[in-house]
Amino acid sequence: MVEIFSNALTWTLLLPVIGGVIALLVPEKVARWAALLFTLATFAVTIGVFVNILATGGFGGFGDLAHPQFEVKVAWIHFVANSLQFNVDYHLGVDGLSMPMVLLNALLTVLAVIGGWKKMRVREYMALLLLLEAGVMGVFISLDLFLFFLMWEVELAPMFLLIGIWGSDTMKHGMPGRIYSAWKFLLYTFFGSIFMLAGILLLYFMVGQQTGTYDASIAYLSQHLVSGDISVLGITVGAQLLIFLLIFMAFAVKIPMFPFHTWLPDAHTDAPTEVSVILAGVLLKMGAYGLIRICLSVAPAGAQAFAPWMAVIAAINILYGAAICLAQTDMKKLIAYSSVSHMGVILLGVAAAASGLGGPDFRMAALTGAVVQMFSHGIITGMLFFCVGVIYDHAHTREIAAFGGVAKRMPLLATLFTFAGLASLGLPGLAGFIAEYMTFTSSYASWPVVTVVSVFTMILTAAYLLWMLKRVFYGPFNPRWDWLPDANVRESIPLIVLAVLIVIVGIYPPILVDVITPTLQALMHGFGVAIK
Amino acid sequence: MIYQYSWLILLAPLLSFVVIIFGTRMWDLASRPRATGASDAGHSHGHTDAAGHGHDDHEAHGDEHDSHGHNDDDDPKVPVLSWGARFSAYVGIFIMLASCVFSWYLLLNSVLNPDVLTYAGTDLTLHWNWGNLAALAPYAISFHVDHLALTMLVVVTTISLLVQIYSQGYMENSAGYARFFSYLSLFTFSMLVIVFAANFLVIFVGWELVGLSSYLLIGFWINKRARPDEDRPSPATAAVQAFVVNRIGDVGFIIGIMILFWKTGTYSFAALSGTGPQSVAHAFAGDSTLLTIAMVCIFCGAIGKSAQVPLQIWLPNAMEGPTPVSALIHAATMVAAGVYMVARTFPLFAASGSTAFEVVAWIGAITALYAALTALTQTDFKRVLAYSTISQLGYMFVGLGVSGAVDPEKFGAGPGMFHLFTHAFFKALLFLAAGSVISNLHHATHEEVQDMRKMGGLAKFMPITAITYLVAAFTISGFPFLSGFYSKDTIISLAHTNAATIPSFYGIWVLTLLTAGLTAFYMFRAYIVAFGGKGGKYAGFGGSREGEPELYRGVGTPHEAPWTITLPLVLLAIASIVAGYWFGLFSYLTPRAENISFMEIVTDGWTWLGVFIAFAGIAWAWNLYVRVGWERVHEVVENNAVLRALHRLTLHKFYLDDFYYWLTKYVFLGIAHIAAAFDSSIVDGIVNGVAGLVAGLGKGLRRTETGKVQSYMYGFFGGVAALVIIVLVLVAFTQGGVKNLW
Amino acid sequence: MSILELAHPTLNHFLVLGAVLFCIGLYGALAKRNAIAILMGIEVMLNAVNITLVAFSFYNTVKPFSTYLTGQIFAIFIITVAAAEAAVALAMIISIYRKRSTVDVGEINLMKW
Repeated sequence: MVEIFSNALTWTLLLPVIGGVIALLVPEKVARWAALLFTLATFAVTIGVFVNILATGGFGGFGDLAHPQFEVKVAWIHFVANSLQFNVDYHLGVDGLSMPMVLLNALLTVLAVIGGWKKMRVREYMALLLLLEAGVMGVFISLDLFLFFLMWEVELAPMFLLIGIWGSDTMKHGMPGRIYSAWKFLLYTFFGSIFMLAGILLLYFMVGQQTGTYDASIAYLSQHLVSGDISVLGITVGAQLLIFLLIFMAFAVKIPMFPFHTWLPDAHTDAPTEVSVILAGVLLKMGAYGLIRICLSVAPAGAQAFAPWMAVIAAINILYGAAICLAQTDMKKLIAYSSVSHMGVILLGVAAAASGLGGPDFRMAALTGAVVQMFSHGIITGMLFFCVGVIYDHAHTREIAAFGGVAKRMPLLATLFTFAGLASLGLPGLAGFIAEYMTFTSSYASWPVVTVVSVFTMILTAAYLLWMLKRVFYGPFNPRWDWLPDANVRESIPLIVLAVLIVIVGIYPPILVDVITPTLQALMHGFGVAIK
Repeated sequence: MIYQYSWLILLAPLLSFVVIIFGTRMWDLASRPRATGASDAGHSHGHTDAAGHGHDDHEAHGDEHDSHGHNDDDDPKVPVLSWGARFSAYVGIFIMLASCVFSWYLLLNSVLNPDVLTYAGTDLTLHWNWGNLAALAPYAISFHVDHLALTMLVVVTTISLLVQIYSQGYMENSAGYARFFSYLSLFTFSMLVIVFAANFLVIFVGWELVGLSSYLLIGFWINKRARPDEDRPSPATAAVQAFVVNRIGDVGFIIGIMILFWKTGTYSFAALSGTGPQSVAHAFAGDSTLLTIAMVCIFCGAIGKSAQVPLQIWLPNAMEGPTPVSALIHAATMVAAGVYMVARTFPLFAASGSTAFEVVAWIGAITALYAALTALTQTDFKRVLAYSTISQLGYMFVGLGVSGAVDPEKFGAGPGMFHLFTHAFFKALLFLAAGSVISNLHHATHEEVQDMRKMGGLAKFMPITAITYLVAAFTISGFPFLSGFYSKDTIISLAHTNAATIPSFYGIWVLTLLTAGLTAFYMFRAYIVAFGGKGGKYAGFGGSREGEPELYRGVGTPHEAPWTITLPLVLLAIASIVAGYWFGLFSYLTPRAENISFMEIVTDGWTWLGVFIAFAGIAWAWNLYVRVGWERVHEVVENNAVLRALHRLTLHKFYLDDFYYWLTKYVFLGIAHIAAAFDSSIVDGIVNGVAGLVAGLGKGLRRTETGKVQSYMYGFFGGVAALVIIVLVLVAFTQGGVKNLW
Repeated sequence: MSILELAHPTLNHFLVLGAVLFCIGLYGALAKRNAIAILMGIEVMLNAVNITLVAFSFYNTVKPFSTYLTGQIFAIFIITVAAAEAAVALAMIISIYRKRSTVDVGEINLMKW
């Protein structure tokens, strides 16, 4: 017990839960501050973890899957039936891949609490936000597959309620949009999760039978890879490919990968601003994180076999998502589809890394680019959603056509929105460029045609973002908005924090890249050993 | 070594950008009176707590602008310029002056003491990597200075300095005064990133950043309306167009970079053009086709940035930005970045054989002619200059292409860079003079007048502007012994010389000669229509004579501009004359290159053919617009079907813009709408369809729940009976017959 | 079939009786529209089962003595449950009759989808 509670990572899970309960119990005025306090405390703990690792081991000290930092492993469920064993451990730890995501989650939740300060039923809202934080945090720090799966599902409940209760009331398919989207989000994720659970069980028992040791630790599974073929309905497939596909199904829905992406625009348009921020900022990253952490580690041969398809789907994601953006009339939906496009870049990087084609340096760079994209897309799209939230809170519409020249009345917001848009379209000096440039230039060695086709997204991205900004903020002023106030101080805090972060990562990327590369290097090394 | 610290020059404009945005602009905004009446009490966090980009308050206008309330938003003004705003300009100018002096020192030092900086140049002490990992080593932010960079550096810093001085006068009481100066600084920084780039990564960074500065500066007047009557888009539209069209070229650029990176594993110019294992010569050995493809892709970036055919459409529209911006970015420096980039990657082009260079030359020549033809009929004072810029950039690419295609070692990038160098001064001068005209006519008429049909005889009112413009017009036409004469003639005669090896260059030679004549014609057309006219003094080149009717066709009385405007004009006029006398440029840029010699030029008969054609152009312009007169020419053209059709054709830019508009609106947006419809009806339709199927199934099955006890009993007992029968049948089959049951 | 055989009934006689009674009860429960008649049918079916159980129990000669009475004990259970069921069902029928003035099951479909 002592080792559980003396571990800082346990507290990143517990603090939000405790904060959530407290926020629910105390009166409204205190609830906000309690939520802020507990999210800040969680953020402080994650920063503490980060600084501690940095102080003891430097940038190379974040370890990897086999050597995670702040590791805690305590037996939880150990069940034996004849020769079968079902073992689940309370196994937490961070490394260079999860650390940025942990920090991102903690930071975005703090900002979301600030952003949601004025919500209706604020106690429940804050409580759910905090529970969501705990669930997502759990996904990023779990090193046991079953614990991972548990956390993966835990996160759904608060998200479902947040969209379903505080979402928009626009009618969709004969019901309020928030209901429709909450259910769509829930069912779609469950749909993927079922496959993942099947994959996890298959993997767990196959490895257990092959090695005689039943251990769901991701590190263990990645060192004792399954081998052989499996017969499914009379068709023989490689065991790794099957496991890869089953587990990847959940991540594909979450990323979201074409054609499983349609929940995303609905969820985004109907979710309240802060929830959209969390959704785009960290929930989508759960899919990408799982893909790299689990799929590449435990089923490298499966990943390699699927890599060509993943590359093609990545190009579809990138271009198709961007093309749809051009036709959007709703700002938030536009940004939601732009997420589809930008998450495709991660898929492309992973596909290149898993391909086994091109030089190892190129693949390493491609995977690094993909992970950097995970972080930078989180902060950039988070900022974009905050911007849309501000304008929606004041103007009560997100229709692009309804605006025109409002930069005249909202200079600060126009500045920050334009900034975020430029970051999103990959302007050098800002975070998005690092990721996209790295991924594209190095993926070419693995998938030349796909990469060349994907690069055309540069035009589309610039076109839809700048065109949207132009129609909303620039050009002739629409006198209808003469009364519109600019973003106030509370609304500007999240925007400015994210803007500063975007600039820092964009100008001096080593601060992020050096954290993740040791981990990825170990991963790619294992990958190279595994698939020869 | 002092050259290693030239990153001070690089970071200086960034410093002024930061100081202005977070310092003096805040001061400016804080010192403004709160907007009164515009915001009601309910919105207490009003509009004046603005920061950064974006906006200029809607405030009381100066007295002189009260008469035109309808375009309040076009160019918002403040009654009095605050000290914060003024200091923004001072900060920018002071820092730029220091940079300019330092860069001229560096250039002169290296010209006069050839040993101080070798041709290979030196890396700057400022550099960092994107990651520690060895695999990420190519992703390095590093800078390099050599002779080529220094040549470009002085152009950028000098023009920037002059434009900033000029802008003090031009921007007057603009509400966005501080913002404007911060953008100018940001632009200079971005441009210097390109200049100092040591690898493709950094040059691409600078490439995009100048795109950003261009976007911000074109869209500087954020709420300005479009003018469909004059075929002018709103600045916001033009800004987006510029950025997006540039991105089209950038896609080619990055694809080229990717191919090179894939083969060589490096971005560094030095490594690529050297002889080591990472050089293109080594990596692409035996595969010059792929290298040619890569280089043509890289050239696409230059096509976009330098507005060459077929991506030329954005530059004329970019004229919607303030005129100093047009001079600095869209004439002298940024658009020349494409030329600089090709010059920078000259050894890589050379390694790929002559095909890539031939593409460069032909694109340049076609663009030169196309833009010159279009410029013939434009009536917008700035647009004529915009097309002229496109045309002259075409010359530079011809210079690079024809020099590289035959013997890259002989002249190197010299001819193209020489024309870039001289062109920067006289084209900046042309734009600044045009800006002076527009600004002064704005004072006189309280309107933005850019149509030269509303000008005429302006030489009488603004003699300095007129004379400096005339100097520039002579220079660009290739008048003997002015700078344009040397740089342009070098290119034309080189095309002729090298045509002996590559016969298709005869075509380029003819095109460039033709363009030279057209250039002279349209420049003098613009000059005469705006500044002189039929019946003017000095053979129509001056203003109206004493006692004769006024040549000026507008309203009000224009005046000469203040010294902040005329000083840069005069300085640039001097530079336009003398810049061509740097005969040592070629050997300064390229080791062992041949320099141009004054004697060769003046004794070569072909040179004088070019001069003759230019004079013919000038004479024809004089004939049409001084002897015949503007109105009469117009009448003749309108009454002749052939001439009218030709006029329409060039006036509408050969309908290329309309074609692109159609393509964007119907094809690209059409595809986007189809994709969106596909997504919501097919992809999402399947999802909703599956959900609907399940829900429908449930609805159907619900009907069996009648609520009647007896129907349930039927089901229950029927089910039991059915099970019994099934069991019986199964047992019968497995036990071999019903009788065995008993 | 002689009278003697009837005096010494075998297990089959009771099973046939049980089956006949069950079918009569089933017919009543399925075909009648009056709720009380249905209830009666159900009671008949229950008692048919009781007869069967007791008969099996009585004729059992294989199992040890302690299990002889299982069937009969079961029958007592069923009688008890049937009484309780009848009480509840009659109460419901009365309640429904008060509300809707009918005991026709064709009209009682309160639990329809």
